[in-house]
Amino acid sequence: MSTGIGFGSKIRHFWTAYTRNLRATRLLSAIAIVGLAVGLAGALMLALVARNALGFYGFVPDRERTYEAISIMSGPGMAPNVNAWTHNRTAGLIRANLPDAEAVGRLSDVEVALRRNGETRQAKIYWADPEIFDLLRLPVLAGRPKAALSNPDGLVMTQSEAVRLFGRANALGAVIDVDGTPMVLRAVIADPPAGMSEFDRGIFASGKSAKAYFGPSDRFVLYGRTYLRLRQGVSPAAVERRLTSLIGSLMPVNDGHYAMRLLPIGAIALHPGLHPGARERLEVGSLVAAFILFIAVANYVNLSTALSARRWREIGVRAVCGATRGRIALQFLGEAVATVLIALLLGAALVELTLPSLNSLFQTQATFDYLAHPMQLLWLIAGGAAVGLAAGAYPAFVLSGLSPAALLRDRGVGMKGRSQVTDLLVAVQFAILIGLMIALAVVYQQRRFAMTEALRLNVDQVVVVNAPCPASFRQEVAKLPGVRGTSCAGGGLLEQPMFFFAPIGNGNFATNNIAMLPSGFSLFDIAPIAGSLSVLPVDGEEKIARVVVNQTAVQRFGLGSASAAIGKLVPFPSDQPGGYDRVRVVAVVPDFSLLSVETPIKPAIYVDRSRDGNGLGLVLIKLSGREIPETLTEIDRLWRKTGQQQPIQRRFVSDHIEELYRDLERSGRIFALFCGVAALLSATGIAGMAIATAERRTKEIGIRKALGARTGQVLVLLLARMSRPALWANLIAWPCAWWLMRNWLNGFAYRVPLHWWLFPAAAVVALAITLGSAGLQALNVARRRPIEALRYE
Amino acid sequence: MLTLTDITKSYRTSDVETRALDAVSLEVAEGEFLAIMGPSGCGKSTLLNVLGLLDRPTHGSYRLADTEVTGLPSARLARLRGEHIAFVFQNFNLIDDLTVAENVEVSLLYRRGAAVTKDRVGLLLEQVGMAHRAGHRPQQLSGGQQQRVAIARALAGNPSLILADEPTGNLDSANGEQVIELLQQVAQSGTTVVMVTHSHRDAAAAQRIVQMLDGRIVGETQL
Repeated sequence: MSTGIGFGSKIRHFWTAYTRNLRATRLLSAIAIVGLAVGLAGALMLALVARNALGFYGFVPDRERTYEAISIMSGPGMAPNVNAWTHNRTAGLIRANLPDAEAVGRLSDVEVALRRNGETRQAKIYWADPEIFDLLRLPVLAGRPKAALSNPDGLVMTQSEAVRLFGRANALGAVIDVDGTPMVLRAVIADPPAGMSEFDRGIFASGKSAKAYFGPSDRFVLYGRTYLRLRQGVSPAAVERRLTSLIGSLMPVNDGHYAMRLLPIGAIALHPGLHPGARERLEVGSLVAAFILFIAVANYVNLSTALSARRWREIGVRAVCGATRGRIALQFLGEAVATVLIALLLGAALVELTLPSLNSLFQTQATFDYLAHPMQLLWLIAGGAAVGLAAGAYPAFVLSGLSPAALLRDRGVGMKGRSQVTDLLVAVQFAILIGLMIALAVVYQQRRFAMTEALRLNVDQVVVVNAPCPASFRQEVAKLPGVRGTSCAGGGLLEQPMFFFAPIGNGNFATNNIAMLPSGFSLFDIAPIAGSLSVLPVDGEEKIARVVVNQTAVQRFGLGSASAAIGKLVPFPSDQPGGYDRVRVVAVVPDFSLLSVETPIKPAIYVDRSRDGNGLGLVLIKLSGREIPETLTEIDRLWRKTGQQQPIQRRFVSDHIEELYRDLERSGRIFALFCGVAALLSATGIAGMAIATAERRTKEIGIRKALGARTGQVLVLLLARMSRPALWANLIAWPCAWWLMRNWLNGFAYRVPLHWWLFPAAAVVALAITLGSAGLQALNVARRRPIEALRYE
Repeated sequence: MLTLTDITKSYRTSDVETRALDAVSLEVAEGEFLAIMGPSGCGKSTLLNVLGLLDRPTHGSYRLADTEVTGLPSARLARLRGEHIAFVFQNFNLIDDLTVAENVEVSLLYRRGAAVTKDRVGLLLEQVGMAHRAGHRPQQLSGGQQQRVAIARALAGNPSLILADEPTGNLDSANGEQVIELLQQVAQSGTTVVMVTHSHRDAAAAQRIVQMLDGRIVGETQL
């Protein structure tokens, strides 16, 4: 008694055919699978990063009605300035006037001195309202966070922070000195999921002890973040209008405009004002990951189509045994899905292995915890199956459409349109590679430009110390042998400077007001282009009367040329609110900026604040460049010796510049990494294609050689054929790359030109990759003796 | 078993039309062993493809097991092929990646309700004298052995029609004889066998010989 061939037996049969075919073509299959694994790993990595950004604050209950209030300042001559911080009375005004707000709380991220067991260190903490834990509800591990912050000495810490500071999570009652005030740990909360919130610190101290931040203030200063949760069904737009009008009444009278917006907390990560470039990075990353995946899939399609020649007999046999076109297509689709799932397994392992390095490289906090999130696994498998279906569709369609009679009679059957499709896929692969190379070169050039020429000043060996120019420290440091000079400047030199709306003619426009001692210019090798810095009194002025301006100010104030500007009067804020004095220009310096090249240089007035010290926040120290570590140690020693209470905060200006262009650097790294991957995949794909197609052309080469063709001629013929798609790729890549990079560069106020030679240079590299990867195989084929080639048939 | 009436098959390129079969009419009875002979290019293989539902005629009627098949969709033809027809080729057409037993199994994969198992595969291999090589790959077998496996594959699905395209063309005479004997046994068991051959000796094993020339049937000999 026999039973029919069961489903299991059928699956086993097809699996056997598939795996044996993989083994028989192990080199080319490995090329395809590894390529797919890399492509899928890139896509997976990007998906994990995107998951963080798109699911920002996903752990907060009622995320959809929880908002962060943000400030938008605008005015003539300035781009709208978006700030996550708000006036410290915002929360109070909301509580008093907006019953639609269910909860409201503040966080102020600051740097403080933490002292414990006689040891002091700088640390970043939050001053927080107790209500913040009504809003951003994290699992509580010990104590009651809201009650904890109701005490002026209360502290709440995340589990990891408590362990770091006290050696254990359950350290309730432990005392630590925060900026001189003893505070007690009263609650411990779970760590927020990595990368899913703005929390980059784990200490929440009671805002009741932060009078400077949370206390009453008459000045219009933005002190910290304000979060609120609206009641169900309340429109944020109406609340925004009400809030803007409430807060606007606190603004001093000038031409500036203040608006408050309610930003859903889920949208914070990609908000262009708060996280400039984040959305673009995600978009560029998605595009590049899609490109890489496309290259890998195209390799698979090309290789599997080329390798199908060895399975023509099998297809023919299956067809004569009754397999319909659909069944044959299904078999090959199934094989493609299986291949992609194998590649997915490898890709997932690759992500697991490299995620820490990639997170560090791209400054992301992506996590891949599929055991804790089984849905991730399901999505992953579904995604892999979808890629498999896409990758297998063309080979399955082509192979199932071949005539079984022709396949079984002889093996020289042609596949209609196969060559064109293969060429098109290779051309698109190379177009992507060329495009990425051009993008990489432009990003690199722009970064280099931003960090050198665009600065227009020499930041080499300049150290800044955060301090309001303590005279004793500065004098002592100046005596060090490794120090060439010292000076002081306002914090605005490195950060967003103070500005005012200068009344000129019938209009006003934003003008930077930067405190800088005259000696500061020479530290950066900046010499006046008109006037003299020496006319400024050495110890400053009681009342500002003489100033230095930049070239942009000369133009915007209509002062004529730089030399004509000397001696002329320009407006400057007086001590009276909303009032202006006229101050005399004594020197004009070239435009320079230590801010990002994304923002145009504003008119700037540099004032000497050495008399009152008002606005000075940085000590500038120019090193001689010799014995740098020893000099830095001496500076640290003098900081303590001269009685400074806080730990020293110093950095090189060049590090600040590096920090400023980290986005560019990250973009450069992304392009460089993916460019390398794309080049590798394209090269292996081309090499695989060369191997797979070599056999197909063996007979042709034999005939050519039998008719008298020399090895060199055959080699040229083969390479010319293989290079054709790489050359066609330029037609796609050049206009696309030009358009995209032109737009990207236009985002910078100061930028490099888009050099024409980058395009042919990238094309030459792509061609070299093609010739390099296909050359050896082509040479092997071209060198065969004609009799060997013909015997093959 | 099958009836061809005025079957024409033309191939057309941009400026040339080639008539591979020209008004061919043929009737083959159930259990008959028919040999088709003729010079190269006379249309023998095209006729076999039409008979095997691998190619559609340009004109004419083809009735297989009382079903008019000329207008049927491809999927239905594939099913009919799987249920009624089996092939034996000159170059054996075994799948290199599969073992002997797995090759035989292929013809069972696409049959509806085929009551066949490994036992059946083993019996068939035994019948053709290849049971001891069930786990071998085709490359490890001689030509004669490969053709015997191909015959086992053809028999696996209990077909009512076996189409053999020069089954001894790549074999020495001893192996060729064995293959022809197998086909004779198959025909005697009630399966129709249509064989294309150049060999008069092979053709002599059939019950009837049809002669073809230039796409037409030009003669017929009852043996």
